[in-house]
Amino acid sequence: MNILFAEDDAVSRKLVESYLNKWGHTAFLAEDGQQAIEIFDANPYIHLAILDWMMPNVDGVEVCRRLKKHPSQRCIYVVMLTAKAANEDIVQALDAGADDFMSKPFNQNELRARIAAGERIMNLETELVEYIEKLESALTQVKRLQGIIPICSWCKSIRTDKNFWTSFEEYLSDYGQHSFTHGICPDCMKKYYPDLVKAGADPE
Amino acid sequence: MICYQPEKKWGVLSNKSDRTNISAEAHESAGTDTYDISRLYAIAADDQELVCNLIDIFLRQYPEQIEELASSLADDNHDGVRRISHKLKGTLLNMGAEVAAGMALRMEKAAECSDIMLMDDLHGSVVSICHALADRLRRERQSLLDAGIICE
Repeated sequence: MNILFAEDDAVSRKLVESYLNKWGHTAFLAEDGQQAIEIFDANPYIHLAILDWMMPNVDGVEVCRRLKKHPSQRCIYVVMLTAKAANEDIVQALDAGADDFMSKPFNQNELRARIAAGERIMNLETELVEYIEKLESALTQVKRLQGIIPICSWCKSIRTDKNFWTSFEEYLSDYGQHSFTHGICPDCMKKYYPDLVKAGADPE
Repeated sequence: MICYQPEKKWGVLSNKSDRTNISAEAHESAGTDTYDISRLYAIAADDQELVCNLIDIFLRQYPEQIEELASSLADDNHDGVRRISHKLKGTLLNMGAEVAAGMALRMEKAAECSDIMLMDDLHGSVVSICHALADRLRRERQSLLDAGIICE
């Protein structure tokens, strides 16, 4: 997983980078809030961010707010990392959109567990987005079949949304995701194959 | 903001003799006897190369922080003192130096309350404890080099 870690302390950055690499993640490191936002802008596959609260330029809470309201509307799981642990601080972080909160100094096992929890949630969110896209696509198809369909009174061709005339079978195949198998009804059998009907052939 | 009350949290500091005690305690803890290098190894999950990297980063970074702290104090920039002490505290905790981090925390809290006397008292102690820690870390680095575990 691609993880953004923003922290102004170089020792902490090195330490977390080492942990993340060891756990099979790719770390993107930022020295301050502004750099964190720039890295996020430039890397569309970052889905988890660990942000220190107190950073120069832009603080962690503001970075969190901006990532959550990013124009790309990307899903991002944010863990706020801070020595602050008062209730009002936690509320402020959660109000800014943070998903989780960790007190410093952090324990590496706790960090790993919280990242794993974030990864599970991000996977579920990604799956959900995919399902919603499929559902929306399916609904579009249904809507097309629900509307008034112009049909030729003589040859029964159908006019599509793009103003093309197509056969009834083709239209249903394209818009209704049906497939056809061809047969002959008893009336047509009598009309087109009267000899066969006389000979006792069963149109069914 | 609830202002830090050092007399409640760290004992009464309002008279001179108590302040002297705090200073003495700080200078004492600046010695290497309070620092357990095994804490750093535990943090680095016994990765000696990582330990060496962390030591290098600390040795590069801390003189800058000490200097910034001094200049913020000289300029009466209490917010600057608070910010730098906070950062230093995090660095020291990551190096496994809890006693030194505690000293930086006191400095941060004193800055939050603009307690100039306490900040002045603690400043020397913070500097001493950082230098002592740096000496200990340099020795550790040298021993890793001597043992051929890491290269320059």
